[in-house]
Amino acid sequence: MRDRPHLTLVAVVALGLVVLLVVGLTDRRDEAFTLGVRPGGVAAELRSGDRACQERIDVPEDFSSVELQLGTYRRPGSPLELTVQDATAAGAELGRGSLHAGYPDVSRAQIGVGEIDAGRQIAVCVENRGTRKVAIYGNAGIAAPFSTLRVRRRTVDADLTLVFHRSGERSLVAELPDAFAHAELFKAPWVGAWTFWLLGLGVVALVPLVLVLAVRALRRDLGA
Amino acid sequence: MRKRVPAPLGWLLVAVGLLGLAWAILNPAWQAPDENSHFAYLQSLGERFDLPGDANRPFFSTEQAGAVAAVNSDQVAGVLETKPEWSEAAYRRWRRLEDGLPESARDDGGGPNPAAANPPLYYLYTSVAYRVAGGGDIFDRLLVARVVGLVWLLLVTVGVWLLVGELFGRDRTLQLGGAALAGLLPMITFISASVNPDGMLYAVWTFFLWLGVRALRRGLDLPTAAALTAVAGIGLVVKATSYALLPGLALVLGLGLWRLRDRAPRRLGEIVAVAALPLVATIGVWTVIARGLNRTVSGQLVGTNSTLDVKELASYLWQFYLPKLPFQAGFANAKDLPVYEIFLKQGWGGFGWLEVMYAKGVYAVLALFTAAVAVAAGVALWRTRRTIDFAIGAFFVLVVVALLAGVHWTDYHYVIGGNVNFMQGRYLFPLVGLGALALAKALTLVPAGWRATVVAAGMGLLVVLQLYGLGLVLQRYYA
Repeated sequence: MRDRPHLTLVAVVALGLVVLLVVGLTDRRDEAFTLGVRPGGVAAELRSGDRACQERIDVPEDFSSVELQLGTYRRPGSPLELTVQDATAAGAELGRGSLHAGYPDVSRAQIGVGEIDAGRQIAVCVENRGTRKVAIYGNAGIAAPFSTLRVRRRTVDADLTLVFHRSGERSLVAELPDAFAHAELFKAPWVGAWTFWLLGLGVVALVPLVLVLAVRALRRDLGA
Repeated sequence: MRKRVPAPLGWLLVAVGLLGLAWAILNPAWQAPDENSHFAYLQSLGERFDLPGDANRPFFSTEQAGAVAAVNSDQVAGVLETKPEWSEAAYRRWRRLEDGLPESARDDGGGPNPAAANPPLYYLYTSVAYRVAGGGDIFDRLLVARVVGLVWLLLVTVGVWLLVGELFGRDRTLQLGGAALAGLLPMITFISASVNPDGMLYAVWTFFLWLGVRALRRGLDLPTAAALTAVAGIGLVVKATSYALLPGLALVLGLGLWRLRDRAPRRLGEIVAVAALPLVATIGVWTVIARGLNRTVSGQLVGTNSTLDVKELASYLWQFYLPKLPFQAGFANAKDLPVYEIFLKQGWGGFGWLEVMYAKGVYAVLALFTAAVAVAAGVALWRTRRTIDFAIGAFFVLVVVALLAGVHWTDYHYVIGGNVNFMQGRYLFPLVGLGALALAKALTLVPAGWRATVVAAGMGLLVVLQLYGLGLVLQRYYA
């Protein structure tokens, strides 16, 4: 009976960790990265034959499809052609995909473009191959300060909302190494991925251990 | 004789500190409520030795504006679809830009921002650490400012330990249970681990409650009177919310002096003088400085429209706590049941800019737990009603009512003005000491032999909630 309180604490934390681990293993997602632009309104309006290119996008993760938010002015959407070019609209083509006509207004569409590797800069170009105009959602040009949107070859003070997806889903647990690598950027210079592994170990193992010591000390104080 | 920190409290503080450190390091820059504004205030004070709010200056310094844009902070704030910048190439570009910035890029901010009306004490305290870390980059200084703020989280934990001990006769089990609730509650850790004066506010209020109870139980003496008014005065120069301490302060001082009138009439004058000094040294000095600088002493107190429609206010209050009745006019865009959506959900955990939430079912369980503790505390109070110290009860009621009146008065004006984004669950955290007392009272219903086990289970659950919250933040921003 003397050990009941701290065994209870350990059991509760262990049970909670198992539940969190199961969630972390079963919650699988395919999102690779985003341009980081919230869909605040129409960033580019494409009439028949028009092309919009979001240039100089850094690719921190491999991806195979691109998601856009589209507006069709309450009519069935026009067919779109999406290409991935090297760095700018004039760069070599790295991938291509298309979206068939008929998608609804204010909807999200995911277009497969083939496997694109991480570590390069790309441009994502969207061309209206139909007869009706299409709106692509995005936000003001400050939203992605190192990337540029060009519509009909002219620079526009806006950025597109772009989400990049992998070909397969991954669990959060499988993503941990990448997540820690992402987390080390824009932190104090001494913070690295190792810091998060260490912190993870600290909060998962050390915090419960320290609280067990608190409970043991409590039992000693009570003279049990 | 040298007093030692009780071992259970010492170990609890280690756990609280570790979790606080994890939040401070993991959470992305400026992804906590108003952290960008609070940091801009801190940088203005730390670099220019001047308060922000100059209409002719920009919101952010060039350095902060560049870093905010590079990490994509504004686009990410409150919007689950967007992520902070992950690209190493973008990071290297920002670093090259940062390295090329002139010294003046740090001190060309100081313009108006939502935090500019706050009194300066928290920022003054944090600016010392900011200056010490001055050689590092902006993320270095942000992290240092977050970490030094964890002192307040530790003090909240200590304050609750003392408060519960004062009312429950130093019952270590109840003290540990109450202090663990305050120190391990994920939302308090998250806010305290960001650049925000609220962490200091919670500590000040917790110590105020402890000192007030101490004065009412043991009688008002010179040190307690001075400490109580010092804490209240400090609160007034941390955040305008602390004006809600004044009715409670008046009650404790008034009652304390009244009780002394026969026993030690000569001491009355001394106590009044000693109690007044800290107020003069804090809010008095700040008032003189603010007037000299042509600033409002506490902008939030005068920032609301003062129109009052009693019927409408009553309807607003009803609809905050209870379901809307058929004949009541609804408030535009009001949440379904604000007491649940705001106080309960955001009180237990709403991270980032409040968009990172636990699963809905978790809040339902936490609501049941909260209600169970409230009912159990009520039952325990009823059973011990003959021993209740009504002066202490009145003190607590005054503090609670004053705080709620202040936040509801402000929220009401925001709501009728068409803005529903003022009220937040964290505005209740200055009262965390009372929440811990309610938990301690509820625990008295548990047979003594089982109390430590129940406290241990509760601490385990709080740790799991902390880990869950940290996991959600990791997933939301980095995965």
